[in-house]
Amino acid sequence: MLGKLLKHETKYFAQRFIPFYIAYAISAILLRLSSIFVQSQDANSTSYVIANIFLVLVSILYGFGTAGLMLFAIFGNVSRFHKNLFTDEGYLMNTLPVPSYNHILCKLISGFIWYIISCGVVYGVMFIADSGSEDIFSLLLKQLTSMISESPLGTIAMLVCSALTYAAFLLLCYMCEGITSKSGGRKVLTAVILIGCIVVNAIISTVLTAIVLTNSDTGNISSNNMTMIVSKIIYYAIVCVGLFFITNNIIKNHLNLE
Amino acid sequence: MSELLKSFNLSKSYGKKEALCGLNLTLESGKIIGLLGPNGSGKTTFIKMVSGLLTPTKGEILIDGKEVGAQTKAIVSYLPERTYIPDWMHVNDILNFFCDFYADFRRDVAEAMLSKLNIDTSQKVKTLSKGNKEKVQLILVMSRNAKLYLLDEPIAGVDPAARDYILDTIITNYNPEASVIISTHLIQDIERVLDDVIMIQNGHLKLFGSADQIREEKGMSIDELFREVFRC
Repeated sequence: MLGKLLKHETKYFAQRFIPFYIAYAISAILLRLSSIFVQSQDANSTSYVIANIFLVLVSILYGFGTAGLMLFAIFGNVSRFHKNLFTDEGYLMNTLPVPSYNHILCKLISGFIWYIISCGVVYGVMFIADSGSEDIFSLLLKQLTSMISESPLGTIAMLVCSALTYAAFLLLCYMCEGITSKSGGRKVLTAVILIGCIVVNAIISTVLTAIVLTNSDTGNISSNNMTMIVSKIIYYAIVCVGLFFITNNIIKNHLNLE
Repeated sequence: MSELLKSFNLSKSYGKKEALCGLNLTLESGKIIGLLGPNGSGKTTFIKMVSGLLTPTKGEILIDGKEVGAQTKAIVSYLPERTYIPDWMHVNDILNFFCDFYADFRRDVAEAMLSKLNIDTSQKVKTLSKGNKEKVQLILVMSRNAKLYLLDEPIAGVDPAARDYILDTIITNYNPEASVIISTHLIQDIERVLDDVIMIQNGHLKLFGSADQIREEKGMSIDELFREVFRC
C-alpha cells in the first residue's frame, strides 16, 4: 500500500515540479545568453545598457527561482501533508484501507525524493547559468572526493546526520499540523509549538556540542567532530522516532475531521 | 442475516458539547437503514466515527466483528456530505486510485455509469460542475462491492431529478448482502427504500426499528412520524 501511496504522491508532485524545473532551466538559459550578449557589446553602446538591464532582471528571476524551488521542495511537502490529510481531501485519504503510519512514511519519503531532485536541479542549472560553473563543479567534485578518501565513515556519518536533521524538521512540521487539526484549527498554537520546538532543539544541540567538547580529552579536531556527528545522529534518530510516534498517534487515535 | 455493525455506549463530545451520547446499536447486513434526525442531531458524527474519521470519546464500534481501522475501511464505502475528489485529478486518475486501493472496486460498473451520464473520463475533476462532482463521488462509492455503505446526506441540496438518479443508483448498485446507512432529513424521498429506521435527537437514540413495523404501530408514515417527533 505504501508503494501505491507513493505512486499517486509522485504523480501529484511531478505535475508541479516538472513545469517549475523547466521554467527554472529557461531562466538559467536566458541568464547565460544575456551574459554572453552583454560581454560581446561595446560598453558605451545603448544595446549594452539595455542588455545589462535585461541581465539584471533575468538574474533576479533566476535568484527567486532558486529560492522558490528550494522553499517549495520543503514547504510544498508540508502543505501537501496538511491538505491531503486534514482538509476535504482527508475524507478520501483517511478512509483508505491503509495504516496511518503509511501516510506519514509516504509524505516523508516523497519529501526526501523531491528535495534531493530539486538540489540536483539547482546544481545542474547552475552549470547552465554561469559560464564559470565548470570550476565550481570540479571544485565540488574534488572536495567530495578528498572528503570520501580521507574519511569515508565520516562522510557517511555526515550524510546520515543531515538526512536525519531534515527528517526531524519535516516530522516536526507534520506533528504541528496534526496538533492544529486536533485542536480544531488553532494556527497560533501550531506556530507557538513549532517555534518552541525549534528553540528547544537549538538549545539541546548547543548543549550536546558543549558536552562533547568538554569531555574530549584528545584535542584531536577530527575525532571530536566524529563524536559530535555520532551524538547528533543518536539525538536526531530519537527525535525522529518520537515525532513519528506522536504524529501517528494523532492521525490514528485523535483524527478530528469535523 | 448477520450482525454487521455494533456500537456500545458510543459517545462523542466536541469540547463541552455532546454530539452523541451512549448510542447502543446492532445493525444487520442486507438492509437499507435510514439514519434520520434534524440538523445537528449527531448523524454525521456517527457516520464519521464508523468510517474512522472521528475517534469516539467513549464507547466502541465493531464492524464485522473488528474495531474501526484499516481492515474495516476495506469493507466500508463512505460518501461524505462534501466533495473530496482532488481537483488536480482527471476522472480517469480517480478511477485508477480506487482500483489501486480498493480490491472490491468494479471499474467496469463505474465506467458504464459515467458514460451513461456523458462524463468523459479524460476530463479534469476541476472542470466538472458541482452536481457532476457529487455524482462521480456517488458512482465511485456505489461501484464498490462493499459490506457497508455509509451515505451522508446523499440527496441534500440536489434537484428532484438528481434525487431520483441518486436513489436509483444506490438501489441498483449496492451489494444485496451489504447494508446501506443513509443519513438524511429529507425522509419523503427515501422512505420507500428503507428497511430500518434510526432516529436520533440531540445525540440520543430516539427510535430504532423496522420501517414497516413502525408504520404499522404508529399508524403513520415515517415522514409524518419524523415531523411529529421533531416538531419545533
